[in-house]
Amino acid sequence: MTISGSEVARAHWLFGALFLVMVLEELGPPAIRSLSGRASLAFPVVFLLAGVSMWGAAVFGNTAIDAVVHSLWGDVLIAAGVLDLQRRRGRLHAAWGPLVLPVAIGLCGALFLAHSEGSPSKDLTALWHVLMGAVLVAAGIGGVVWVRRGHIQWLAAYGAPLAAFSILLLTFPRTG
Amino acid sequence: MATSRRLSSARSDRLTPGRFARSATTARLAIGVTVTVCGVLWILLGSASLSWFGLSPIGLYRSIDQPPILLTLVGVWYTARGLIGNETDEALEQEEVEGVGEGGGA
Repeated sequence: MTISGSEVARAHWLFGALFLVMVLEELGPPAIRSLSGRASLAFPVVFLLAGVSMWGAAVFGNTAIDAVVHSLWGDVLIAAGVLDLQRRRGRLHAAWGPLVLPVAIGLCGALFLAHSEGSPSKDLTALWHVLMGAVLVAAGIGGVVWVRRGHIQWLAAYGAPLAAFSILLLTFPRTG
Repeated sequence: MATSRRLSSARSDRLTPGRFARSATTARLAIGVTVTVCGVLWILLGSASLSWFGLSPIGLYRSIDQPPILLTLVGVWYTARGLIGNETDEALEQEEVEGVGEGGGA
């Protein structure tokens, strides 16, 4: 059983919308409702959903590299989602806790670059994978610096590439 | 006057009640409206490539799962959430003002 290019594109679009929701919710101007004191769970929940979806994509992957990279994505996303969920619930107090998400995002970007098949100059989906990998790596670096420095200026270096990633997912080319 | 509250989320450090909270609401509304307008423009410009798949559950999912429609829905959700948050904030601030008045201040 193989998945058509159209279905692959649809999965990317849907995930792009979810990812944009997560980025706006977490990194946009803070919601007034957040003043009530509850931590937002948008990031870990989307990470866990994405991790499960990646395992699905690994099962139905059309090529070996597809299956391997999607299963690794699933591992990284689920591990990061669980650790960040526990941190936000106040169960994880380790100093490295806030670094989990940006490091996971950077790792996912590196996997995107490894996942890219074909020449970016000839194949539009290969080009999209390279672009998505590059913005995720940039977001991961920006996120690590933001966590370390704590200056709000670095939030843009974290949020802007993540928003760009959402748009790249939403504009993922439909092939086949 | 609003009082500070402690949050455990990563962005809690950025939250400041009061006037900043109001400007944050305005920024959220501006972003939400911008995303919605971009989505609507995308729908108008790319209407030829949009498809309708019927009223069955799968058909509805496939009809909605098209980038311009998804972007518009995200924008509408974000705008609505900003508006609802604004109302909640006003109620919270009113309660806090009354609380401070009755209790003689923090």
